[in-house]
Amino acid sequence: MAGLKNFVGGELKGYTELMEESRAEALERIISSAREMGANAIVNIRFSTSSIAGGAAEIYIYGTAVRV
Amino acid sequence: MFDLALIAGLIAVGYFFGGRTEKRHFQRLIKEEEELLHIPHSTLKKIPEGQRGEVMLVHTSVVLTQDYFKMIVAGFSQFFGGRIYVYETLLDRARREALVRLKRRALASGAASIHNLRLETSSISQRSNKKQVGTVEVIAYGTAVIPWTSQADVRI
Repeated sequence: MAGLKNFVGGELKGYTELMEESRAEALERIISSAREMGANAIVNIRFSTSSIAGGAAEIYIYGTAVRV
Repeated sequence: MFDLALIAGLIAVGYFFGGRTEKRHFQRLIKEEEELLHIPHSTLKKIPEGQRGEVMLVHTSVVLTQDYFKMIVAGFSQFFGGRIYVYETLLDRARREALVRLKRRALASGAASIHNLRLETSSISQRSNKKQVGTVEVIAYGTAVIPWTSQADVRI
């Protein structure tokens, strides 16, 4: 589907959805790891993406876990 | 011979449909940006005194691809150097769309402003052996501020 869309241009909805889901998953993981440390908030969060191979991407989220 | 005809066909399809999609997208963006003008966004790390409230992280992403015609044009532009206009419009569209969606999301939670806004771009290639940038992903994220006086249900 994404390959076909490449000819006419425009938004790749499937890909956007995939990235959104992965980002939600990464966000859940950062929250649980902050909780393990005993923090109750995360500040200065940053999102980043790097493409690893064709059709694969890595998403990483990092931030400062704090107790307020 | 068949290959050549196929490529020419793809370029024509890209030129007509891609151009039309882009034009419509820009028209829609202008309209939506105007509608969302009441939600200011900034890159300030500290929320201004008068706008304090409940804070919430909002994020969104857009994956946009270039059409075949523009990909060829971009390829030719690299011979001569200079601005690659067709990439500029692609990135502009992706960033503006991401910002519009971010504001929509913030608005849905009852936010009145977005601070510490960040935009991140990454290129996603369908075929890793090709150097051409065809697909970009733009992430927009920031802190949505829901004023304390707001009647909307507050959640962090």
